[in-house]
Amino acid sequence: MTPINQLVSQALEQLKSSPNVSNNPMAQGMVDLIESGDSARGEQMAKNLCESMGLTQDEALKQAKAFFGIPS
Amino acid sequence: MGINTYANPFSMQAPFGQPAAQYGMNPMQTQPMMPTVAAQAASQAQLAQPQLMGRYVSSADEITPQEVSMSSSPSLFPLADGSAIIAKQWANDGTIKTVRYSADVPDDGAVDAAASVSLMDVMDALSDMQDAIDSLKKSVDKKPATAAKRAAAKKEATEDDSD
Repeated sequence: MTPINQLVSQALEQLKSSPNVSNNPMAQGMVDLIESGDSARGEQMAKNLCESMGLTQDEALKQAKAFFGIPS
Repeated sequence: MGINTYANPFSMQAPFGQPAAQYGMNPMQTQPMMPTVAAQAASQAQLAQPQLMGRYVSSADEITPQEVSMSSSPSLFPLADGSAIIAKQWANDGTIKTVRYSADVPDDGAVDAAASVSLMDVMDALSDMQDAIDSLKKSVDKKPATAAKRAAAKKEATEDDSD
């Protein structure tokens, strides 16, 4: 398993164990989407989220990296 | 800014741009975090008492995406003038679905028509009452004369008897 896959796997496990995620159908749907590996659907959802939140993809990526503590 | 009568629905959410570690969600950590007893109790209390999310707004433009709850239940935003309620909900595709519930209030014309009909009824009833009062007055005016005639006739009869 590559380091990035290991990181994704750990993040998924933490998300799934969180009651805020397991009790939230929308968050559950996002976890299922990540697990499915459907990158096209994931990208479309990310674009929709950015548009709904009024963010560009670059801004969203920057904020996501800051959120997960990933160096730019 | 409207009056917020609902509980803040965003207190448990980690907004964009906030460090994940602040919310105990840092995936870079190697050891899984154990939720505290207080956090578990808080989440159980939230499950036991479902709350309405939203606040009063003066217009639909005032609602920001951050105010729409990501708990998959709709957030409700009543307009301050009471004309409508706007429901917003995140969809599974990352878009926000909006539904507007408008108030079903009868228009002013219908109210006036109903009022004029009842006013006519009242006027008719008053007219009937006036007629009844007039006829009662007439009968009351007649009664004293009749009573006086009877009294006079009785007096005469008494006088005749005495003679």
